[in-house]
Amino acid sequence: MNFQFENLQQLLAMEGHGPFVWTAVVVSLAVMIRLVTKPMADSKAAQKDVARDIARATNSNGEA
Amino acid sequence: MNWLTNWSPSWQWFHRLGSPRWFYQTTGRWLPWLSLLTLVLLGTGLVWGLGFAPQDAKQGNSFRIIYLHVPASFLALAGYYIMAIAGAIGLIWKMKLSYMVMKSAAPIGAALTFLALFTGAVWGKPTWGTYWVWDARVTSMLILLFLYLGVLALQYAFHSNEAGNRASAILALVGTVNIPIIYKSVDWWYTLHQPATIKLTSAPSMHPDMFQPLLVMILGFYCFYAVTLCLYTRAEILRRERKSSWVKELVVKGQKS
Repeated sequence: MNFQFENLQQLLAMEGHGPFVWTAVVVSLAVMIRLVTKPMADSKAAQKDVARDIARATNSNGEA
Repeated sequence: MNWLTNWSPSWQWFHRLGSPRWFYQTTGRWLPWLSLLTLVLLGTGLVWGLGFAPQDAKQGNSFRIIYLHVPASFLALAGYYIMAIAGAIGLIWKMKLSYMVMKSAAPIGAALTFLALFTGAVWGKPTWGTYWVWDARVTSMLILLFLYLGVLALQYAFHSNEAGNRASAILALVGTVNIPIIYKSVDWWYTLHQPATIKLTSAPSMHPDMFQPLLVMILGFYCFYAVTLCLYTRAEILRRERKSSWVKELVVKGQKS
C-alpha cells in the first residue's frame, strides 16, 4: 500500500478531480461537525434553563 | 397492557429502556468511548481512502468520493428504519423515550440524506457530466429527504406533543414504502446510477484495496450515527424532563463540580 500522490499539490489537484473530491470532503465534515455541536449546544441551553428555574425557586422561597 | 410488560422478567430490559433517565445515564457512560472509536475509524478511513487507495481505472480520482457517498447513503437509509421503528414502538407502547428517539433521528437522517445527494452531485459532474439527473435512484433519495423533513415539520405543526408525535410516527411508517424502492431502483429502472457496490449475497465488485477503506468508513459512519443519535436524544430528554427531580439533581451536581 503506497501513498498515491507525489506531493501535497498533487493530492489537492487529484489530476483535475480535486475540486470535486475536496468539496465533497469539506461539506461532509462541516455537516458532520454541526450534527455533533448542535445537540451539545441544545443540552447546555437546557441545563442552563433548569439552573435558572432552580435559582428562581430558591429565591422566591427565601422571600416567603 | 400490563400483561405485555409484566408476564416475564425478560421484559424488564424493555421497561428500563423506556426510562429516559436510564438512557441518559447509560449513554453518558458509553459516549466517550464511542466518540473515540468514531474518530479513529473516520480518520483512518478518510486518509486511507483519499490518499492510499488506488485510483479507479475508469473514473480516476473522482471515485474517491465513494468513501463519503456510500457511507452517508447507507446511514440515511438505516436511519430511516430506526426512525420508523422508534415511531412504531411509540405508537404501540406509548413510550415517551421512543418518540424522543424518533424526533432525534429526523434531523440526523435529513442531514445524511442531504450529504448523500450532495456528494452524489459533485461525483456526478466529472463522471456523468451533470450534477443532477431525475433518475429513479436520485429522485427516490430526494423523496427520502422530504420524508425526513416532513417528520421534522409535523413535530412542530401541533399544539400538543402527543398529536405531533403520533402524526410524525404515522408519516414515518407510511414512508418506509420508499426504502425498498430506493434499494431496488438501480435494478428496476434504467438509470445512470451504478448498481450496488456491496451486496450481502455476493462478493463486492471492488478490489480489496479499494473496498477495505470503504468498510472502515461505513463502520465509522455507523458509530457516528450512534453518537449523534445519543447526543440529540439526550438534549431532547433534558428539555422534556426539565421539571423532574433527577434532571435538577444532575444540574446541581454539574454546578458543584
